[in-house]
Amino acid sequence: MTVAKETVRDEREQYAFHDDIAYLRETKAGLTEATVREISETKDEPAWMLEYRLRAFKHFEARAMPMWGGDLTKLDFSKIVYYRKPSEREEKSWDDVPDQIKKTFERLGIPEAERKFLSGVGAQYDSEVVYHSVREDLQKLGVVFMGTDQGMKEYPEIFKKYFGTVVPAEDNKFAALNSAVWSGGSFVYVPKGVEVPLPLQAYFRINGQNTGQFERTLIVVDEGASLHYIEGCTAPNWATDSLHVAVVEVIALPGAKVRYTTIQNWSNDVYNLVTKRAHAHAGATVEWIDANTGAQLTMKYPGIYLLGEKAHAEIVSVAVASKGQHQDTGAKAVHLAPNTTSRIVGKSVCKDGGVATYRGTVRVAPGATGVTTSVRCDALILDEGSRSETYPYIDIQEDDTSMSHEATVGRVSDDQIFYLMSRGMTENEATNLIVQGFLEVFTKELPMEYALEFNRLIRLEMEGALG
Amino acid sequence: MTRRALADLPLEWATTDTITTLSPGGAGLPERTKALAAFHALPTESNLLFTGYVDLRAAEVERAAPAQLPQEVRALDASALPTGAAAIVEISSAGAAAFLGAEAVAAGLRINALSPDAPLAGAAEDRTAALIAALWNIGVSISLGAGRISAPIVIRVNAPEAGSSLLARIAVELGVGTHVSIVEEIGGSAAAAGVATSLLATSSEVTLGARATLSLSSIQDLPENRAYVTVRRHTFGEGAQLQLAVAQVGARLVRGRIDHLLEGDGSGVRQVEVVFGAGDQIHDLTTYSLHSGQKTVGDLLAKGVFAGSARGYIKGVTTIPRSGRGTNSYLGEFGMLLSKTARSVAIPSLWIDQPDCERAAHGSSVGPIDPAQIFYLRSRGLTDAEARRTIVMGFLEPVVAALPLDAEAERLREVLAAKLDSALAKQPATLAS
Repeated sequence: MTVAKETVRDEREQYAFHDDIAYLRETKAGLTEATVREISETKDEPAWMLEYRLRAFKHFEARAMPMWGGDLTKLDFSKIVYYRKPSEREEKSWDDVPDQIKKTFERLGIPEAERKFLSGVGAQYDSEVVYHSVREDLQKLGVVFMGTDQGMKEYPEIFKKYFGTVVPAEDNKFAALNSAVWSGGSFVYVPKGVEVPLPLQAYFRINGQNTGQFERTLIVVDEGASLHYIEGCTAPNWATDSLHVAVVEVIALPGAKVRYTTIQNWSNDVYNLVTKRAHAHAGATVEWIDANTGAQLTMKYPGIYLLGEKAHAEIVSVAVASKGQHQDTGAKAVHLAPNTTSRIVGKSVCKDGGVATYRGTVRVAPGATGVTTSVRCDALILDEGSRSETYPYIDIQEDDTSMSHEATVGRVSDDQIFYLMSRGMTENEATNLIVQGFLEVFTKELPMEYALEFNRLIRLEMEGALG
Repeated sequence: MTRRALADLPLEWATTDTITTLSPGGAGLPERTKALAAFHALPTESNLLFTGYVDLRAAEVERAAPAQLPQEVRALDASALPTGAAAIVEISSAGAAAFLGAEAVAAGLRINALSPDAPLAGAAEDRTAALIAALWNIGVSISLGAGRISAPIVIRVNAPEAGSSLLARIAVELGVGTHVSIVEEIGGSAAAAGVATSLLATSSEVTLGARATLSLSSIQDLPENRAYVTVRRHTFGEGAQLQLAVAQVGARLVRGRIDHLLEGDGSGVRQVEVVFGAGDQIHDLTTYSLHSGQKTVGDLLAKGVFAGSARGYIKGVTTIPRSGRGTNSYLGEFGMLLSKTARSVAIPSLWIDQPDCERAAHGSSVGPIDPAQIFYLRSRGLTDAEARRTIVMGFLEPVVAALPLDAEAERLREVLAAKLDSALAKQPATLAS
């Protein structure tokens, strides 16, 4: 029997291009108080936001760099351009987006995806959101999906009530940086009881050299409503470092259900230092489905604070670290209310000298009785020279908590490879299949089209992994 | 009550003057000087787990300076030898003393004062080790060149009285193919619970020659007004095996570090550690295992029971460098909370550079007493309190059962049962179901 072998075309190059674009406005490289004021002024913001930014900037300056996680010694804040504005405004019609930017996103398949299987799409190019649209029927139901800057202006009540409440400006050095210079991101509001049937997607693109992208996403899902939000990220490969420091705040009000899916595929010169956190109120469910395959250094630990009784948290975090990459990822579940539950699954693969770190926290605070939580984190090391690290922090302060944690680290087993090879596969195909199976916990949570794409991405990452 | 970290403790006696006094004739002074500098320079926590948990609160030992003790091992009377033991070593504020039974003498066991300039490995990297290396005031060396001693060597360490410190080093060197078992009893005269005003620091420095086997058990049942810091370092020759059972029951606060340096190919360690905290006790324990040899085995199990307002921080760092092929390592940390105000923190971490491993796993759990188990035991005629007691004692039994002397195991069971009864009696509201 001949087995038709699927060949994988390496299409990563298609994301590696960059546009020579004339920016409408950009700040000078480096960060000073004047930069912060300039960004705020350009955006014509209310005074309270400028004050907020300045407070955050002060904290950013005062706060020491983290001593843990990845190597940040080469990150030079003075070389980064903190704001680059590519277009005049955020468009609702694809036809109005400037041609060059439109072409970029068309090459990345964004409008096509919208037509096919999304409820709405947003696209951010360097510092500003260039396009946002949401299906008309959802708009009529009151679903809001727009750039965060626009959200601040059009929905000031919702915005002010929740902005900075989940991730305070003083939370960590990078949250402070984002709070000082944030620009763009998505603002989503789903009214009470509205179920958004198909995912909303945001697409983030860094184009310019040494660009810092500091998007700020605020998602409020009202009582009993539901939402699936997907984000994807790419950037061209410059030889110099780019910086992506996002803050994502999700508020799931009582009974709401939110799923937030990320497929991060930044180029290998991006520092990806992101704070993502959700508040889950009574009976709400929040799910972070997070994959990291790109960037030179990722430090990202999606967190869920379970504030209300019977809230549920689910975090699936997968990472693939290849040559020159350090994926320092994980999850955080903080139980602050009774009868809350959480489940964390972390899976990482490292190869060609990559470093994969799982860093996770489960905390059960006094008063959070009847908590059930489980953590599973597994790692595959595909070759010598690659490194796997696991740091699970488990802090329990209630006597009736039921917590279990398991982890294993290992290589692809020879027996499995042998079996698959005896069924006609090459060694590389066998390894691919095993790695895909290992990461299936993530792929099975994706809509089909994304799952296919992700599997293809993994196959590309795995090309030539063995000799 | 003032709450400070060990790092902040001024330890007024950690000075050049003290180490000079502790080095009569200048012997060992260069080593102590280096260690003292390290003690002042090092952070309290030198690993990368970045916990804020290392604070040793409620210790007021700034003025509890270690006294100069006689640097010799006195002979004890034969009557001091416990039934079934091969030898006895006693360490206290009065100095060190020992008695060797017939089997130990015949096998060539030697128990001497530790040489004043014997280096303490790890003192450059760990603050507690540096403290002991700089300021130890008593040291005993136990060595066996060859052969086996079937009966255990008993080491009794008596904590100092309030207002003083005892820093004791115990170095154990076992030759090729030797077999020894050691039982450590760490205790002291009873005293009221409260702020720790005396410090006991011990280092256990064990070198295992090729194919040497050691069974080492330690029961720490200090009165609750003592602070206890301890470092253990085990270096493994080819094929050497260590069975380690540690019970941490007493002391107001305990900070412990265990290092397993599995350098020899085929060497292995099996460790069971039990921690029982009640009242305001704080336990902060970290086990490091470094699998640098090939086909090494590390099987580490820690179990903690916490009642009252006790806090337990149980951490593990298992490292498999590139040289460590074919290793088998497991790190398990399991906690049981008996009260709503107790706290259990587990951080079992792995750092792995070598994909060729047979097993590299860790697991942990924290949970209450399973109501189904209570129901079952009650259906067999036990009262609620008896059922709880049985379940907790069963949870801790793996460590108790690992002790080589029946009398020691029985004593530990009694210690644990007494502590459990007292803890259960103090919180009837929590445990009534």
